[in-house]
Parts: sequence; C-alpha cells; structure tokens
Amino acid sequence: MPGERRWHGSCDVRPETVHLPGGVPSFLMTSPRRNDAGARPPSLRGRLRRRGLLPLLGAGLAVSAAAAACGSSSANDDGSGIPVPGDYAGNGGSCEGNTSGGSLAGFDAGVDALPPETDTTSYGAPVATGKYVWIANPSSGRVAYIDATTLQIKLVEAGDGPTYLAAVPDPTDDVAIVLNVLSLDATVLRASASGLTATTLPVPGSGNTWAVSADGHWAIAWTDARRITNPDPVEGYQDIAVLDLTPGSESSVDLTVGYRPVGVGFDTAGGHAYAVTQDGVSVVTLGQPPAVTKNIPLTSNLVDAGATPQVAITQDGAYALVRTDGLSSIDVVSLADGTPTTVPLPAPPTDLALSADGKTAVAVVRDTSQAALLPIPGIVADPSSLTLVTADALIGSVTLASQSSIGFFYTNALPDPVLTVIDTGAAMPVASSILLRAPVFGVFPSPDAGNVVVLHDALTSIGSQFVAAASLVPVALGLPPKIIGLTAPPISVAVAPDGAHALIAAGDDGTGIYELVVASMPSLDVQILPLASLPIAAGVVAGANRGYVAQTYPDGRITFIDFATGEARTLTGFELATEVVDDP
Amino acid sequence: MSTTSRPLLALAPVLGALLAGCGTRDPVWDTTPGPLVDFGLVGSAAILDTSASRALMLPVEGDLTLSPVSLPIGRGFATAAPTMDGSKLLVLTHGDVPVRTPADQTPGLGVIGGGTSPALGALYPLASPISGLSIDPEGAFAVVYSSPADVSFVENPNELSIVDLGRAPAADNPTPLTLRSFGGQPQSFVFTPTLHLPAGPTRLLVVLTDQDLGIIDLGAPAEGDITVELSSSGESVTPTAIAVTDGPAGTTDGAELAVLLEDDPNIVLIDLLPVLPGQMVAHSFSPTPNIVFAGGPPSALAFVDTDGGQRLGALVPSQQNLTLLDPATGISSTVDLGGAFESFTVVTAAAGGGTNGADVALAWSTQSPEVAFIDLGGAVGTPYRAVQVLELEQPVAQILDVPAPNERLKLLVAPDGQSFFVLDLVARTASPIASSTAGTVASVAGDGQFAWLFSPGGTDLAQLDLQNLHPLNLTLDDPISGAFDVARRDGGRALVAVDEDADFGVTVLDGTNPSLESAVEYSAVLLGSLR
Repeated sequence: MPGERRWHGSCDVRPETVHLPGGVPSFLMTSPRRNDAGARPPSLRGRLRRRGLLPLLGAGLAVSAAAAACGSSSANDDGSGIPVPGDYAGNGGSCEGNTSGGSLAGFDAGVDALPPETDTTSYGAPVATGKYVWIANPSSGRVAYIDATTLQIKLVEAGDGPTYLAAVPDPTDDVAIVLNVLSLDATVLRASASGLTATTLPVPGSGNTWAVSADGHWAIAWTDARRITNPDPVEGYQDIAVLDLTPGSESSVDLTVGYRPVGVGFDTAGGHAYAVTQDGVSVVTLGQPPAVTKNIPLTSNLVDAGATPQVAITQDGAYALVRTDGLSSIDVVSLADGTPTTVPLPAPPTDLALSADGKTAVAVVRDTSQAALLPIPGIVADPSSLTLVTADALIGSVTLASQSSIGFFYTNALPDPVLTVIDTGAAMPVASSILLRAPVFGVFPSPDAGNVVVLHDALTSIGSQFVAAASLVPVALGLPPKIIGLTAPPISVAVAPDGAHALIAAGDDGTGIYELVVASMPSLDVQILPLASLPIAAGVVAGANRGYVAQTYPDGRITFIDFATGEARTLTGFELATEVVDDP
Repeated sequence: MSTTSRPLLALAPVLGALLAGCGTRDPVWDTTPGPLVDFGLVGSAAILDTSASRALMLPVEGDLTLSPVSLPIGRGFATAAPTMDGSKLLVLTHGDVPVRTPADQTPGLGVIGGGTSPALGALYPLASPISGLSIDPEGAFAVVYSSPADVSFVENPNELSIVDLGRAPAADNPTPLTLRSFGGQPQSFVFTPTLHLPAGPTRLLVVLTDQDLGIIDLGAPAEGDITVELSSSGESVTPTAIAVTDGPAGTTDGAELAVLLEDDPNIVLIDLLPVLPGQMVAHSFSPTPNIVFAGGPPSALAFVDTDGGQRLGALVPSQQNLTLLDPATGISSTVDLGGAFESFTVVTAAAGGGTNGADVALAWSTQSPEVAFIDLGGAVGTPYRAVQVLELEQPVAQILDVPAPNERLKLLVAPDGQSFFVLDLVARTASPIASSTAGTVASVAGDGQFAWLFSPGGTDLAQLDLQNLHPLNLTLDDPISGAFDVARRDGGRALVAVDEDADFGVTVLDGTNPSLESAVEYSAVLLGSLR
C-alpha cells in the first residue's frame, strides 16, 4: 500500500518555522517516493511535498537545537527517508512532521491511488537567533545580520560561497555558523555586546546541512544526498566535519560515517552524535578529538538495501526506533550493542515520533486508525506494554507539540477535514476530534499545543476556488477554528514560541501573488499583507517580538512584521547598508 | 511706436569725446561688448555686460522709461543665475587669474537684488576660480563647484563651496568642502526642503555624482558629507534624480530620499533614521538605503499621497504605467497609463484638490501627444478609474507653471516651439495656441495674467491673455533675443524686450495693455550707464 503523502513542518531554533516547498522549485530538491510512481494530481498535496528536513529524531534525542525547540514532531516515511534531526541548512533548524502509508478499511482504493511522496528542501533562507536574523550571500561572500529590534543591517565577511547557515544556541551571544561551500570551511559568527567575531574552521568535505547540539557546543556539517540532483551511486557523501564551537578554542575534525547519511543528531548529554545512514547509525563519540566509534546496523527488517527506514533516536542516545514501510512493527534498537527489540503493531505504522519529554514514542497505524503509544524505555523490556488509542477518524500522521505531550493526528493521504487530538502523556489517553472545513494537509502547533495552524489542500474536493487555506485552531480554549482562504500556495509557516502569533507565507511566481498571513492567537485576528516577491521562509524573532519573511530577490529581501503594531517593514539590498560612509 | 527716446544713443558721441579729451579713457571703451547675458528678475531686467564686468539693471518706471543702474560684478565672469523667485541674481566671477597684485580681484559670488531698485548685495569670496553654480530653489543657499569648463592646471573636482545666502560673508561662509570620493565626481545638486531629522528640522544638499550620493546637512555643512554608495556589487550605477519626502502628513520621522538610477529598474530609498547607540558617525542622522523594484527603468520619481497612504511614484515608460511603491514594504501597485509618459508632477492644489486628500498628478511625454491626469485617490484601491488622458496635437517638451490667480493653468510647450496648449487642471481641458514660427519661446508673467511669446531673432511678439486666451500680436522694430515681464516701480507691469544682436536695444511695453504706441525704445543701452 502506498504511503501517505508526507510533508514537513520545520521550526527554527527558537521560533517555530515551517517551510513548505510550493512555488519555489529553484530552491527545492524533489525526489519521488520510491513506492509511488507518477499519478500525482496537480493539487497542493502534490506540490507541497515532504521537504528534505525529514522526520526528526524527535524528542527522544535532543538531536539539535531545532529539535529541542520543536520538541517532538511527527515523522513519517516516504519509503526512502530516515528520520533525522532538524535541518539547519535552509532554515535554521527545523522539526518535521509527516505521514505515511497505510489505509483505513473501506478507503483502500483511495489510499492506493495516493500520489507519490516527495522530499523537498529550501536553501538560502535566513536563520534567527535571539534578536538577529542572519542571511548568507553566496555571491558576495558576506553574511548580513539584521537586528530585528532596530532593523539595522550589518555585514560580515565569511569565506568563499557562504551558503548554509545554522543558528547556534548560546546563553549570552547571538551565534550563527555558515558553511562556505567554495572555500571548504565554515565561519562561526558570534555577535556580542562588544561586537562581532568571525572564526573560520576547515570543513574539507564541505556539506549542505548542519546539525547543532542543543547546548551549542558542537556542530556537524554533513551532506544530505537528497539535496543533490542525480547523485552518482559512487558518491557516498560519507564525510562529515565535527566542529567544537567552544569560544576561543574552536576546532574541527573530519570524520567518515556510513553511506549517504540522512540525519545527524546529538544526545542531550553532549557525549555522542549519531548519523543515520544507509549502513545504520554511525555513533560519534564527542571526545577530544571526536571519533566515529561504532556503527549500529538497522537493516534486519529492511525491504532492500537501498531503503532507509524512518528512525528516531532517544534523547539519551540509548535506542533507535525504526519504522519500516510495510512492516507491522516498530524496531527498538539498542545503540549500545545493536540488540533489536520488535514491537508488534496491529498493522504497518505510517508515522513515528517521540514526545517532547522523550518518554513516549508515538506510532500511527493508519489501517486501524490508531495511535500506538510506546513507553520509553519500558517498551524494550515489555514489547507489549504499548497503549493503543483509536481515533474516530482516519489518522496517518502525527505532529507533536514541542513543549507538550499533546499530539495532533490527521491524514493527508486523502481529503479528510478531521484533526484528532490525543494527550500522549495522559494516564488514560483518549482521542478527540475537531472537524475542520477543508482537508488537512499539515499541522503546526504552538509549543504548548494551545493553538494550532492547520494547512489545507485539495480544496477542489469541497468546491473551493481558493488555491489553499489555513485554519487557526484555538485548541486550549475549545473555540471554533477560523479558516482563511489563500490565493497562492503556502510556502512557509512559522509559529511564535509563545504561540501568540503565526505567519503563513504564500506565493506563486506564475500568478505573481505573494502574501503573508499574520495571525494572532487566540483572538484569531488575521492580517493579510501583500509581499513584493516570492517568499522563501518565514520565522519569528522572539527577542524582538517580530516576525519575518525572507523573499527571493537578487540583492536580498526580508520583511519584518512588528507583532505589537502590525507594521510591516521591508529591507531590500542588504549590502547597500554598509555602503554608507559617515566617518566621524 | 513712441520714439521719445534713444537718448542714450544720442549721448554716446559726446561721452566718447569727453573721455578722449581727458586722456584717461576707461579701458572698457576699447573692449568689444559681449557676450551679453540677460535675465528677467522680479522688478527689473538684467543685462550682464561681462566684458565691462558689470550688470546693467533695467527697472521700469510707470511711464515705461528705464532707470538703468550699473552695478559692478567683478572681473572674470564665469556664470550667473537668478533665484527661482527672481528676487536675486547670483553672479559668479573668477576675478583676475592669476592674481598678481594685491589689487587684483579674487573669485567670488556676488548677489544682486532684482527688485525695482536693484542694488549690490553680499559678495562671497571663494578660494578657487571655478565655474559651476547651483542655486537652492528656495533661494537660501548656493553651491559653487568645479565644472567641466574649468581648465586650471590642477583641479579638485570634488571641491565645493556652500554659500548660505541668508548670512553675511564670514570665515565659515562660504563653507569649503571636498566630497568624499570613491572615484565619483559631482554631476548635479538637489536642495531638499526642510526635513524633520532626528536632531531637528534642517535642509540637506544632496550631491549626485556619477556613481554615488553625497549628503550634506546645510545646517552644519562643516560636518562634511555622508557618502551613500549605490552599488554593493561593483557594477556601475549612476544616480540621475532624486525625490524627497518629509514623510507622510502628520509624521515627523519619515524623511526619506528616493534615488533614480540610470537605466535601472531598481530605486534606492534612503531612510534618514536616528543614529543608533554606539554608532560612530559624524552626523546626527543615519542614511539607511533600501531598494525597491519599479518593474522597469523609471523616468521620473515623486512621493505622492494616495488612497493607500504615501507612495513613491515611479513613471515607467517601458511599462506604460505609474508604479506606486510603498516605501515601507516595497509593495507595488501600478496605474496603467496607456502610454509611455516620461515626466510627471504633482498638481493637486492647482487641480482643486484630490479625492480623499490624495494627490493628483499630471504626466506628459516628449514622444506621445497626450497628457494624463492621475487621480491618486483611486490609484491603489481602484487603479482602473484613476487616469484621464487628454489627446493633444503635439507631444509636450516643457510645462510652464502659471502663478496665482491662474495657478489652475499650465502652459504646455511642444518640442517644435510652434504648438502650445493652455491646460486647465480643473476643467481638464487643453486649449491649443499656435505660432506661425518654429522655435517660439513662451514665458508667463509674474502676475499670472498673461503669457508672452516671441520668436528669437524675429520681431514678432504676442501677449496671451490667460483668462480668455486672446492673443495680442505685436511687431517690434528690432529683433527680440529676450523678453522679460517685470514689475514696474509704480506697481504695474512691463515687458522688457531685449535685442542683443543689433545695437543692444531695448523696447519697453506695458505689461497689461501692450501697444506699440505707448512702447518706449532704447538703443545702445549699454552705453548709457557707463561712467
């Protein structure tokens, strides 16, 4: 049975951010699901494909600051994707949710006709730290950093071809790291009260993706082959660079992991990093110097050697949870010795995620419309200790709030307007349903799960003329959702860490419609702002109480929205700001 | 025609004989007059007799007689220009080059009052004999700069002298200044109106070089300039014009410049923001550039008030539209003009006001025979009903403003100098006025009642009554090289027609009821005031 279509939300290190690929083909890499060739209808579902951000390792492993910020999120499999930590390359970290496979009895025909899954990833988007937004310019070799409070733009020289940015958590400074793809090095940018410092470290193997530890001590540059068009089979992209970001003693080490990593993350203790590859999980011991100390194969249940299952790693690095398409089980693999434990399920799970506190793994069994809640680590000792919660509607995907045990379940494999809510941490979890007014495509909860932004697609199925739509759902207050029609495909969604605001950036170069929805919650006030050009990514700078949306423009363009006043301010041509000379 | 005069011409032989007899003949008698430069000022015509280093001011009495006043302008005439209101004539002189003796004159900028009692004003000494002069439209400042005509052995093309015309010459007036340069040289100057900047209201001088901008606070020119480079990638961009706003009505923190770049669809907006804490700069404001995209290379810019708030209007001939850009967001909306207009100006007050307090703009073209009224009160929300086009017989090369009480009118001049149109901004009509002679020159009287048209080198002159558009044709005895409407000393108006090419004659006509019968002719006026 083909997998459920999957999409990925993403969230920045601090603000939650989701990037959707619609309408940005040049910035996206797309690869079809292996088990769904062709037959994708030209709907939003077809356009908004799963991004290369991938299902994250989830709450089980504090895979990155992004993951930490997002908490757990749903992860699903497109048949080729292994869940990985948040992707820092294009958006400053992300946490993902997606769905996959399975069908509900009576809906088999429809599910079987589902379009293929696709992974897509955006590049060149900014990242946000405490009060700065950082944007790299590969052409000039500079990184612009914008004080979101004053909107003052400053520039710093990076290496040659600064391309992939990541935010680095830091207790005092604003820190970002950029991968310079031409000079094969990385520049660590640290903005403090005394100014900005730039430190360059070699990254001989280059890369296109960052993973950063939650404490900002470590960063790993690695190459996600899914971002590369038609990669040669001989190219394994097995080189990673491990960077120690300790201020004043920064260093880097080049290491080799398994064939074609699809995700890299860290344990919360900061002792190990894990690279999920087609050879298994490569374990990196973060000593002095860091080294790859072992590899844990995950292949016992693989359908074929080229496939990579969905993998989530627990926060302590003790276990890898593995979901494989077509198998009615979850494998829990000990990363200490590779011992697998099989947890039988009623049917093949279509999604897998770990809760924010790391105590529960959530597998979605679409064929029975059930959520399987696996206690961690108890499930290893007793594989039957799971709890099955049956929903009243079809569910195939799960998105977990980053600071709550509440999960949001839905399916986007076929048009279905029902959002199911389950508190995965409850002693007696029950499913409740929220009927929305259009088919659910993706869910973006606030960190506390009090409010949710839901994207809709397949609107033609309900006779709508809108290209897409979004619903604001005040879950905590139990108020009716508010639906908003979009005149262009959504590209990026961001939810403020406090859950009070959300941004939905949409655009279509074909129609020339570019817009930004600024939503306030729980009032559900909505402001729709036109944008000057196609959005790339939306985000929130919590320290400045501003949202932003970066847009395509040769000289760089970003629009800031003051959440307090609703005022929008667009900055274009970042580098001109440094061309003003007024020497005292 | 009255021939009560030519008295000066009659005196000339006598004066010559007297001077020769004294044996101390002024060298000017050995100098061939010319080149002459003439201007019309508020209360007199001015003829600069450059070879004699003097200005011959010609105020007019109530009986149309002239009361010439000869004023010294210093030696080494370089250039001169009147202030926009015609109240002053600024004359730039090089002095004696090189200066050899203490008696030799040094470069300076002289001010001559242009009223009915002309008089010398201040003389501002300058450090270098340079020839470029740009005058503030409000008449408060002038800048002297090196022009391409200057051929000194060594020159600094970025050297300026900023003259505060409201202050007497002093050690700090003029203020010498060398622009910070990254290779550019000044091409033009823009004096802004008063802007409310963070440190208070002030005016700016914006210097457009061939590659960047210099911004000078006219309230503190000694602080030097702020250089705003307009390209970060090294490609060549050339600023050609700017638009200025003090921000939307009711605000005091929205001062902004917009820079038009040559053949570039991007416009650079420069916000004049407060200096941030810790920012080490010389000025109390911080120019912050931003870019907006106009959709095509604009030919003209202006800040306008629309139904959507203040916008930067950019006329884009290639798109045949007026692009309205929100300076804050860069969001654009377009008003389809249906033609490739090249220039536009805001005419709100003259047009009787716009819808909902928004502006009305007038667009015209040197290529297409039409003008367009753009109602900006419906430009953002409903652009389809914002434009009204008037077809003309000829394109428009020049638009002349008409003072009150006929400020609702504009005099449009076609490129051929034969077709004119009196455009009524309120009635939105365009009345054609035709001349039989190509190259006819038009001007508008200072009282706004009449326009004057003449053919340079010809003897034809016409007064056009702007109330009823009745042309009164006159034929003078002498060819006309210049015609200046001035206020008379009795409060009436006169037209002073100058013939530079013959005997430097002048014909004075009544400005309201001109007739050849009452006209007074003067010949060789330059001779009459020699002492």
